[in-house]
Amino acid sequence: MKKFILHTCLFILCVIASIVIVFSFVNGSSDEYYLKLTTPKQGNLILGTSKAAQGVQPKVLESILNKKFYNYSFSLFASPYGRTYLNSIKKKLDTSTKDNIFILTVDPWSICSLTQNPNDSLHFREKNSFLHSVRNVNRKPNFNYLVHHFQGNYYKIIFNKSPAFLHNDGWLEVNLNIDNNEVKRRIKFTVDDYRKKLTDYKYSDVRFAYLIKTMDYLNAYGKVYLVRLPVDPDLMKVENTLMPDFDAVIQKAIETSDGYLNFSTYNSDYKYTDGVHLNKESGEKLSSEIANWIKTKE
Amino acid sequence: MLFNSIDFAIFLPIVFILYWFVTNKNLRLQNTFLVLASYVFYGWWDWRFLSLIMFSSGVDYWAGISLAKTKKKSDRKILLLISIIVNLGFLGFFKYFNFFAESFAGAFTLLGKPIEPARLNVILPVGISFYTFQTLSYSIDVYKRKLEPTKDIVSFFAFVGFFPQLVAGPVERATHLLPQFYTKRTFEYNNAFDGVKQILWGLFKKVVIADNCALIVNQVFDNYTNYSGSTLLAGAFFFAFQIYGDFSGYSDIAIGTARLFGFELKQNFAYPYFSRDIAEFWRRWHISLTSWFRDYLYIPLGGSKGGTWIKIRNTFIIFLVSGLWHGANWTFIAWGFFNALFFLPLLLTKRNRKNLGIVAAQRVLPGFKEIISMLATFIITTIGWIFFRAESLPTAFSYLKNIFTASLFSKPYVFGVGETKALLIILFIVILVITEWIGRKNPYAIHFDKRQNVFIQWCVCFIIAIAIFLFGGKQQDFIYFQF
Repeated sequence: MKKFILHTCLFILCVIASIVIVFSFVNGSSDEYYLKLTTPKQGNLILGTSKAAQGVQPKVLESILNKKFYNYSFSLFASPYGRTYLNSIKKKLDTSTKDNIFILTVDPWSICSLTQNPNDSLHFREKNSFLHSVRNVNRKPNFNYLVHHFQGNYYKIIFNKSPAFLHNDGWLEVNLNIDNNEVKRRIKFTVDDYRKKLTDYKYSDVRFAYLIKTMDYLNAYGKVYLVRLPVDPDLMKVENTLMPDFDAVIQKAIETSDGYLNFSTYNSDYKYTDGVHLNKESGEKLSSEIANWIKTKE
Repeated sequence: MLFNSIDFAIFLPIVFILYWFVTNKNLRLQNTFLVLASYVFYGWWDWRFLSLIMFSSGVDYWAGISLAKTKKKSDRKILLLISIIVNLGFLGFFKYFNFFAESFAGAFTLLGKPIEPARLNVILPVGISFYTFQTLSYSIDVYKRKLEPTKDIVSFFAFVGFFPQLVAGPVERATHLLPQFYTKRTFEYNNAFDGVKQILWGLFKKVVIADNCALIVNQVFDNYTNYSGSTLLAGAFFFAFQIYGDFSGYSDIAIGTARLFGFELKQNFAYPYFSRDIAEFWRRWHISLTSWFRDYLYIPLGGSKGGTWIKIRNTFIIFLVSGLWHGANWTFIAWGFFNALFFLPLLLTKRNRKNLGIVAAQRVLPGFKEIISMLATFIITTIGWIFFRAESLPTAFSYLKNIFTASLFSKPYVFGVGETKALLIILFIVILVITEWIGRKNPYAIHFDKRQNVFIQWCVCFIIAIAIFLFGGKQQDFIYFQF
């Protein structure tokens, strides 16, 4: 018995040591979110879902506005507006300064729910996400995230061929095949997928109230700007089916903000990797447009 | 509690230490501890359903004692009937009520008299089909005087609730498992080490094979109308390995865990994808359930002893009931029917017991004829799995129809799964197949010869553990939990 326990303990120790060594190699290409939960608290934030995570580039904003930005956007699953995201923002925000700039990206999906009763906040989808269960979002290494929520397989830490790379400023760079036919195929797939989502997504008063709460909270620490990011024109049709009068719906949020920039009428001016997310070049262009617009407001 | 969870990784060593170091002086205390540990394991999921296991165990314990005291045949029959009604009653209530109510209402609708079915809003208790069959086998064996009823209530409750195999089998017979609770277990290094190896191999099959295949399978089956014939075929292929990795992986973990506590459970999978015909496949797949149906349903119905029509009837009954056991959906019944269609010709031509031994037992590689037979059997079972996995019968037929289109010859593509990832999963399937081929004479694939160096064996375990860590897919529930 003693021999068995000794051998088993040695075996477990070797396995744990190997795991810790592998974890020490985690970088921006290992996981699309991990590094965002390991940095210190941040001041100027870019908030929203994956559209913002990939589309708004902090370094471009910084070069024009002379402020360090951090992209704290995640995904439609993890960070639609709601209590979970607000709590996470509160943990991430450096409250020592009051002259921050906050860019909140908005679209119909981020104020909709998948629950049968759209205001059933107890069962909002993000309750099952890492953003809900990872208590400390400023810890490195963040074992809670690595053990429970790491995206995909751990081998990616060592042998990585992911097209995505998460920069230290929170921008998620995605380099997908830009072959025209491939892009068209992805866009078609995404549009079909979102069309299917139409039956499940419903406008939620609770989510909208949380958008306002988030803005109210951030208003105490700086200026809050609302931005509706562009999407592929075919996807825009789907968004318009979901919420044809989006601007009217978020009117109260627009009034609460320090400015609202709507790119939805310029959808064709940008290029997308899959219909939802801007490609790198378009993201850069859009980021500089947002920065210049904010500059005029400052 | 899931075997592939951190909760279980903490639970198992605690139970192991307390079992061997604290409660080992007294057999009754050790068995009582096993009952408690098993109830914690089960209650982790939903403690309310513990009452069902306790009640079911209590009824069968009482039925066994009463059967021993009763000589009169009619009274004995009544006692057996009570046990069957209670056990199958729970199963019917929780698992089949809505299915039968909806099917009944559907039949009326077809006749032009639509009715609204009454539905129950209840969740299915995990593992109910497994422990129900296990306790039923006890009552039936006692009734048939194949087994002396136990007077040891703790051992009986431990037998029903034994946590390694409580929620997804193997479905143990009382004649095999119950006596193991009567005798003192002794710790043996080789036995426990074997348990560790089998647990790791089971985890590899579950976490590396099944959970990774699930990524492709879920995407393809949930959006099958968007995919080409070749992708749909690939989806079915990956599901064949997902369900095998998932279920045989669970069985390996269960058997290995039991071994850590000094118990021997029966082999539940004997390399079914190396079967040369569908009859052999069913002797190698979910052996504990197949043999249960054989002993308690097929043989009492007359088995294959009657005339042709009796054989046909019995074959269809056993396959359809087996299908229904898996789930309250017509897809499972169709899956059973499909398998019966391929089994029946073998039975009627008396070729169903042609392939009893291990394939290519004396050779390293199979012969050409064996390869063709194994491939043909694999293709048949894979087509059958489409019914098993599909949400509904129309979906299954539509899925099948969409395979056989011109796009069958295009390059498969699965949205969200990169080429590297897909190739990696295929590589692991190849590793699984090769390892299982090499170890096909053993109770599990990496069951080393006892003469093999212990250090080397631990090194192999280390490699498997690291593979599980690095390549394990997103945690998924075990498929068979829903049954």
